[in-house]
Amino acid sequence: MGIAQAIKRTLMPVYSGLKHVFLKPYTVKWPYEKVPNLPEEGYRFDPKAGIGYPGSKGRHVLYMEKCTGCGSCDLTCQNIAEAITMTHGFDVLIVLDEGCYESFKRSMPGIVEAVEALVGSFSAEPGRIEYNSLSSFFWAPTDTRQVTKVEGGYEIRLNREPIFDARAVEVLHQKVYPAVEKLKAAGWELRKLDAATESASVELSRQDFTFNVLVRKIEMGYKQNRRSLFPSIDYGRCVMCGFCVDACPFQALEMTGEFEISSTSRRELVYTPTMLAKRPEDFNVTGVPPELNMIERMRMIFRRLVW
Amino acid sequence: MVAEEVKSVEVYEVGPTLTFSMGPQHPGTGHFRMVITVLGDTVVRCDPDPGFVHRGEEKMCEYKTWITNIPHLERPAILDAAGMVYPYVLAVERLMGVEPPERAKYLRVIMAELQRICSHLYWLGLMGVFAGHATMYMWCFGDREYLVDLTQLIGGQRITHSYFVPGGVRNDAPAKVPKELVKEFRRYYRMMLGRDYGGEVPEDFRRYALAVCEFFDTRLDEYYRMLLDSSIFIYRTKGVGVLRREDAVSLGVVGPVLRGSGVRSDTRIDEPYDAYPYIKFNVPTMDGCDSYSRMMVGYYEMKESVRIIEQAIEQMPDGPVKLKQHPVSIRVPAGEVFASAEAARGQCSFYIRSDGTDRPYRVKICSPSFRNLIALPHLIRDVRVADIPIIYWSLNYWPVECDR
Amino acid sequence: MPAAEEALNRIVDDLKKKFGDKVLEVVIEPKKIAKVLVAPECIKEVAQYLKSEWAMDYIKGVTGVDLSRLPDKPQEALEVIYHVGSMSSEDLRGVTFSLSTKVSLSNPVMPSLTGVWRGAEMHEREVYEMLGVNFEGHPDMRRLLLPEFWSDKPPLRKDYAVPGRER
Repeated sequence: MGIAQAIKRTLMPVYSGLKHVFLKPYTVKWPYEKVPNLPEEGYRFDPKAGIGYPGSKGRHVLYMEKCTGCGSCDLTCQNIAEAITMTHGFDVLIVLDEGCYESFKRSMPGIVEAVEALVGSFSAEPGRIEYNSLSSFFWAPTDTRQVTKVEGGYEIRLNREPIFDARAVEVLHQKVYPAVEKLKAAGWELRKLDAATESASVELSRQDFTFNVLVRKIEMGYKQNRRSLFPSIDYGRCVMCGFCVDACPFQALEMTGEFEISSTSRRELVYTPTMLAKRPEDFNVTGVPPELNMIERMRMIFRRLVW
Repeated sequence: MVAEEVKSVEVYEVGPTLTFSMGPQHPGTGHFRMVITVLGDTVVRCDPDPGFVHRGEEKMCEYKTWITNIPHLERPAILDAAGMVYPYVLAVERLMGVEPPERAKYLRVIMAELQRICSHLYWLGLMGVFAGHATMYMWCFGDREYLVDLTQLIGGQRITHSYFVPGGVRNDAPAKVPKELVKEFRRYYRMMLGRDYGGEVPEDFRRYALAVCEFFDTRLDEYYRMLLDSSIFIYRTKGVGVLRREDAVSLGVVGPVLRGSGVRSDTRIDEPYDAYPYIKFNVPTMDGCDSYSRMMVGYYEMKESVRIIEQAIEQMPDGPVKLKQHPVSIRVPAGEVFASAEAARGQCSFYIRSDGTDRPYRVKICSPSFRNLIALPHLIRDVRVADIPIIYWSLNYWPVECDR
Repeated sequence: MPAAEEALNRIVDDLKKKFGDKVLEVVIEPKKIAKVLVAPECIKEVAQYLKSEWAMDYIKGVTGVDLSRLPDKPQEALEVIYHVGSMSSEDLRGVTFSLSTKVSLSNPVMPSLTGVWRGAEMHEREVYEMLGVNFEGHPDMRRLLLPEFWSDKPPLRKDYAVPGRER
């Protein structure tokens, strides 16, 4: 090895590196700057032609007016990631008869503490649904406006948005049972437990008070989907392969370029059909976040101006 | 030269041998352990211990259907998803007796070569880290971004795209590239090449892809000046980990390790598949048989891959990209098949046995890293401890791909 | 690749002529596979012959298959397949030849071919732990991928069911 080559091999790397000091850095300051390289469209599939359209495979979007609840996406995902579950929407209601409702209005301590325990178990774990809606702070389930009169009694609806789950019993177990356990300790008696896929109820009584907690399926009112069965997707499991989009014969599922679906708890990663039905720009805000301090802002502006 | 006469012999007390494990938490090795016995500073014995990321891919294949196997088969080598799925798709196609449409063949080749470059960039970048040159890692990952973007434009995902299916590819390449991406890229292009990239329609996909290839080719020359031709790197890697030609063949190693030992063997020319017979390219080999040769083979392979992508984009015919078939459930007749394709780390082969149902009866993955594993105890013997990371990483060993 | 197919046919014909009825079964399908099934007693002999006469010096993989759940003809046997190729002979470059043997499911013992192909060492270790085939004469017959606490059946056998899944 000659001297010239040795010098070249020593100095050339230094020169190559030093050049970059005077060039603009590659780095995009995400999330303060938007990543420029996302294809606008999401991956779609045309079942008639049997071919997909190019696009990003990000979060799904569900067209509820096209979905028939056939479960093809679920069946495909069973073999891939088991992320998709076919779910109904459920309401959780406290059903009081005339007598009980009168005592509730007159604030008889027994019935009031029972209703409060049930309401408390609901607000204890707020879930993703109330994530960024301001109105949820001003809403209380015991507000009399939430009470509807039905045949033979009154109903108090506990949830604001539909609760999506595969079976009504699951909702009863997860949402209502903690309160029921508490009430049992307070002397309430669990009379009758009725559990099925589409509805479930539990009857509680103490002395002369008797009331029902009912989990009832919501009829969404879509003509093509009479069972009101829609897919929910758990993004903690989804691998974004897009085979569910291929499997859908009605083009009800599509993918979008949305990739910012991180969260601080696993529950929040389960996207319900109503959340999937929103296009991502509806609730995803990118841009300069307000918590950025003045120096950071100035640096960003400076960076824009200079290069 | 006359040998000097031995006047006296000094004997040093080196003490007993010491056995320790390197990994599985070592930042370089990944989830992989080497049980190393040293005598002083010299390695006496190396016992590789893979299996920390064994996922039972082969058993899983027996539980899933032919199409739904594809997403999880990509996972062993996420940087090289195309290379892992390619032989599987070829094998299933041969069992079914179908040929993909012409355009799909070219799209597959483009995707496979893009992922080969992405994987090699990771290799080169981390080799820089192991040789004490962390700048290389940053550079490789900065430039890799444009190739990954290209992958995302075609396949929809940055790495694990599930793009190949038996009977073609899942979607065509897009016609247009987003404006902001082109704007950003043009700036770097001007910065690096000193001239403007434009043309009449800069957003055209073909134009953009060719420009990325051109840009990356220029960057590769820069890499050569920066790392591969730097004296420090040469001193660290030349003559380290010598695997002779006959050993390479008898141990059955693949890919850059085999070609770095002077064997001109590449699945793309030995048993050409898809569009490779129509494309002109070289198979680089080096006779040095050491770590430096293996790195240089990887470097020249990237150059060749750029050429392949350019040719494939220019030659790609129009037409359909997928056969008419059910999107997620296909029937495969009973039979056996052994198919190979050249993944980034070497030849990847699948043995598939079908019993005529909707699931495979047996899928065997002969992954390149598993076949290179046997070279590790052979090479890490009578070397200094400081050379272990260099030798290890010059094999381009990927623990997940080995464990499957 | 007509040349490769032709070469494979020549190898199979030669093996048939040389070993006669020791060759139990031949599967040749163009572009798919070329497989010769021999008895476990003489597999070493055949392998030596392949290596010395046909320059098959490059091992590509060793597969074990449990045949007990094949729908058409289930057999209580394990099939071990050696996929070999050639690096020293230019016209056999793209060829993969499969040499296989069957061992019984209850007592799976066969001679190791590491003496013929050195590279088979890791592959045979994998087959040993995944299907429970004992290779006699293997220099280092230990577990490779499975965890140390594994005490169930060899997992790639068909009677091992993955917990929580059904086929």
